[in-house]
Parts: sequence; C-alpha cells; structure tokens
Amino acid sequence: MISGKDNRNSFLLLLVPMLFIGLILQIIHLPEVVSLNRPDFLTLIILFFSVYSNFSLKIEISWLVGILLDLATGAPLGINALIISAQIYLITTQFKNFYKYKLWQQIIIVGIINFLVTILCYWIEHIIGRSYYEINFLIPSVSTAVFWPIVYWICLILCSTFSVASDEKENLD
Amino acid sequence: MKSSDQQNSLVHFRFGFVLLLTLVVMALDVRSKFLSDFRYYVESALYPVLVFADSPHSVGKMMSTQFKSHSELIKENEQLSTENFMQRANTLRLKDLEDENQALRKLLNSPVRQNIKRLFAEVVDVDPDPYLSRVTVNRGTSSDVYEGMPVITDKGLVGQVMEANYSFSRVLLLTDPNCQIPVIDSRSSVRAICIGSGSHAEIIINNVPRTADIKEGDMLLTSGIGGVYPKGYPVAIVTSVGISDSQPFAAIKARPLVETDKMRYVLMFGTSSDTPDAEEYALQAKQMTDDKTILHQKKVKDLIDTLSVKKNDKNRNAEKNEDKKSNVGGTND
Repeated sequence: MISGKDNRNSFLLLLVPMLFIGLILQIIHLPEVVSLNRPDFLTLIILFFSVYSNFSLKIEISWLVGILLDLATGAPLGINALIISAQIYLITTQFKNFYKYKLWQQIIIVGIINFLVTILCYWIEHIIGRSYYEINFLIPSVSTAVFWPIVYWICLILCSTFSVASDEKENLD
Repeated sequence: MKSSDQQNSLVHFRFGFVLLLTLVVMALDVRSKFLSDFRYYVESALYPVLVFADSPHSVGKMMSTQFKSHSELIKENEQLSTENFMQRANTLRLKDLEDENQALRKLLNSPVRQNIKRLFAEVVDVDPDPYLSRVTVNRGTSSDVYEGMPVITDKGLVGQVMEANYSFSRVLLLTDPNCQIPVIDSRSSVRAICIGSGSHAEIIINNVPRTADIKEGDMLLTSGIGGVYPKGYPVAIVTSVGISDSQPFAAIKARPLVETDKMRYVLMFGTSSDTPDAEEYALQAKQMTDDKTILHQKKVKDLIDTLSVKKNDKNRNAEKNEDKKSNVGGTND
C-alpha cells in the first residue's frame, strides 16, 4: 500500500485503544432491542488486526480481552474469553486465505463462525446452570456479520491515518 | 512451508492450552469460590471503565437538567415540596403505627423488628452479560453492602445483591430465572414462590394448586419467609391465571411492579452494623423458622424480665419503706 515500512508505527498503537473502545461498546447501555442484538465488536476488532498484521499472540490477547469483558459484565469467568478466542482461532486456522476472499464471503464466514461459537458457549452456560431458553442466537450473529465490513473499513482508515505497519502479504489492497 | 506448519501446530497447541485454561477458570469460578478474591479486586479496579461506559447517559442527564427552564424548575420544586409535606405527614402516622405494631408483636410473643439500615444507590447504566438479568449499582463493601442484601425502589422489590465489590455491586433482578422470592397474596394470604422468567416484564409462579385463591389483579407481597427479603414489600401484580384440567398446578404469571430496565435509583436494605442489636437481629431470621423454640425462648426471657422487674420493684418498695421510716423518725425527732 505505502512504501517505506520502517517509518510505520506498530499495530499496538491502534490495537490497544481500539480494544478499549470495543470493550466500552460491549458494555455501554443501549435500548433493549439493540442491546439483545449487539454485534461482537471485540471479536471484529481483533479479527481485523489478526488479518491486517497477523500478530503471533492473537489467541492469548483475545483470551485476555475476553476475561476483561467477563469481569466487566459479571459473566462466569472465561465464557467471553472462550467466545472471542475460539472465533479468532477458527477463522485464522480454518480460513487461511481469509483476507483474499470477497467481502460477501468474509461476511458469511464471520456470521457462521460467530453463530457456532455462540451456540457452543450457550451450551456451556447451560451446563453451568446460568442460562435460560428464551434467547436468540441468530440475530446477534447476523448483526456481527453485517458490522464486519463497517469495522473493517473504519480500522483500515485508522491504520492508514496513523500509518500502522501491515503484514508482509499484500492482503489489503 | 515447514515454518508455517510449525507455527500452525503451535497455534493449535496454544488454543488447546487456552481452552483448557478457560475450562479450569470457569470451573473454579462457578463451582468453588477459589477465584472470588481475584474477581473482587480486579472488578473493583475495573469500576472506572464502567463509569466511563455510563458517562454518555450521565452527561445526557446533566445536560437535560442544565437546560431546564426556570418556570419548569419552580413547578417541579412546588410539586416536590407538596409531595414531601404529604409524606412527612404520613411518616408521623407511620411512627405511631410502628410503635403500636411493636407493642402488639410483644403481646403476641413475636420477635420485634429491629432498626433497618437503608442505603441509597444509583444504577450504573452498563449492560451486563445478556444471559443474566442483573444491574450494577454504585455502592459496594465500602458502604457496608453485603451479599444477599435486599434491594427495593419506591414502587416495589428489585432483587438482592449477588456480588459485592469494593465500590459497586451487582444486583440479581427478580426477573432472573435464578431468582426465587417467597411471596404472599395480599387479598387471600396464599403463600407461593415466584421465579423470574428471563423477560423483564414477567415472572412465573409455579407449584400453586389449581384450587388456590389467586386471581387476576391480585397484589403479591414479600412474605418474609426465608429471611432474605423483608416482609410486606410489593413484588408484582398477577396478570394471568391459567387453569387446565390436565395439569395439577395452575400456570400463574405476574408483572413486576418495578420496571427494572428503566430504574435509575434504588434503596438497599440491611441490618445496621452500628446498632448493638445487629447480631441479635441476624440470628432472628433463623429463629423465625421454628416458632416453638422462639416462643419458648421468649417466654423464658419474659419470665426473667418479670422476675427482675419484681425484684426491682421489691428493692424500690424496700427503699421507699426505709425512706418513709427515716422520714417518720425524722418528724418524731
């Protein structure tokens, strides 16, 4: 995209504030209709950076961020950590050329993986005995998928604004 | 290729480790209270993040109060002062009723209720885990909040404190499926247990026989049984009573009086640690379950009291007699 990589900033310059904003977006009070179908902002932000700069500690960082979300929301410790890290793991290992896919294909993958992982975690919560049946999985997953291009473009614009270094592969042209 | 394969296998290994760690952490957190200290300290440290997340709402509220017109403020002030006046008048009567109630309870050998500490708290407007019906309030163990503390508003019962951190606590709402409240029908005095349904507009009453006298529109109050919730606070209004011949129990649904998604201020109830009778009161919740023992204990106590009173009276009489004698002696002299 831009030559002269040595002058570029580290992705951490953007990742840390973006994760903070994502955490706030996850816990901020919204009307009930929106709140029940809230997209998974933290996963989308970490997914963008794991695609953009392919940093090695993505699983661990996503797990830690999930633990922070658990503590902030009062959820059983580890449940959001599992949701986020499992999504990042599945997308980065099972779809190695995720960045080469067309946008609509990426949207479908993000939606399906989010749906699967949410069901897995609902199942775990049910074993723990903390959940109830009247809950929808489909619409939050759809909203997560719909928000993927929006988060992607916002992060991309921010990365180019702050001249953050991308991975060597020319994935985001 | 080799290095990428190695990296991939490392990723699998790392995810496996993270998965294992998650399961261990979850088991420790849910099944044992091993991580409760960790949770307490880290969640207390995360409180500024919650306050930051609440800031749009609080700033909006501040702005709306700033831009209120002078006439609106005067009108509101008048309304509030009228309301305050009426409530003060009611409180005067309440004091009298409380004294009367206390006297009557003594006559019935029932335990007399002690002073209850009330704590005003504000709801921190952040969304909890979507699987849980909880709210966060801005009072914690620093303000003597403890787990199991009942929470109310001016309209009725809200729930109880589930988790108390240093500067904030989480309140389990009565609409949560894990929340069960012993209630009593104010009209017919039928006792039941209401359970949250997960929806903020409905609670369910299970295991009530079809013949039970509960009708649509009945008010459900806390019965005080169980010792967690104080007696007599309104909980919900019965909205539907479904009776079918094929089922042994009636399917009763009720609407909570408090709109849990809109409330901003709550009152937290607790035994005051400042009063010397706090320990005695804490024991009463257990004692109340067994009427016979408490009656027995009360009788013994009353007996001791009467004896001591009699002794005192005797002493006083003896003193008086001595005084009289001395006076008589004095006059004779």
